[in-house]
Amino acid sequence: MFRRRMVMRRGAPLLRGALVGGAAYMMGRGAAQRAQHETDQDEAIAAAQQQQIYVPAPPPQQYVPSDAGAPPRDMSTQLGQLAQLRQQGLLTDAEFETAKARLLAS
Amino acid sequence: MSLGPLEFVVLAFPGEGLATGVQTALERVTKAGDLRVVDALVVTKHGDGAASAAELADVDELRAVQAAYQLSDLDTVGLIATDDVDEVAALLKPGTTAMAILVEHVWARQLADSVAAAGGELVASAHIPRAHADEAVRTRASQDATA
Repeated sequence: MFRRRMVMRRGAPLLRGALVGGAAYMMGRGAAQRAQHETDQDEAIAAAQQQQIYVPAPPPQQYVPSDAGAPPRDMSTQLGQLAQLRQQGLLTDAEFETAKARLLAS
Repeated sequence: MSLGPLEFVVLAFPGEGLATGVQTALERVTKAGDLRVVDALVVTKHGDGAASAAELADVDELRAVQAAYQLSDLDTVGLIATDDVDEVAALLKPGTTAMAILVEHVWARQLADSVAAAGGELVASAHIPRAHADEAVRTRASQDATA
């Protein structure tokens, strides 16, 4: 013989939204609805429920090597740098002219 | 009381199939060995949308099943709360009755205890819904196909 007693169910809830927003497997719903639930999923609820969502690794990136060893440099930029060096007195006029000639010939 | 991670399962059966369905479900869970039913509740969504809950012992056709599994003697009876009832009812079509079973993952509790005894720590444990698992398997299958 089993004893019957009043069962109090006023305690702390268990689900706390776990059945809302597609976090739980929903019976009897179409695949389309399920997909919609997944996109609508409440991230805050999911986080609270410690739902771990697997994020697949991105496909391996194709490595495309650059066609020159050195990074491409704008000639006018280099000329400007040479001129600056001359102004700062780090290059003599003769050195500047040599460097400029070399640059223009490259 | 140390209670392991729980699974909250909602089972709906058509019309006259409630008692047999509940019987089948409880039998399956208790037979599993490393699972334990800790609470059970009948949830009804009425035609007008209102929700109500009943202990198995108070539902005529479920009284025998309830007694067989001694569900009213569990010290865990009462864990499913009224807020949970509302959440379950929100899933149900009006005019349907479902059973909510609370199942303890005894294996997981024992795992955590063993790990703790060995000086380790269970860092995390999460339930992955079947829908997510199915999608992962499908995605992997299509990746294998194109590899």
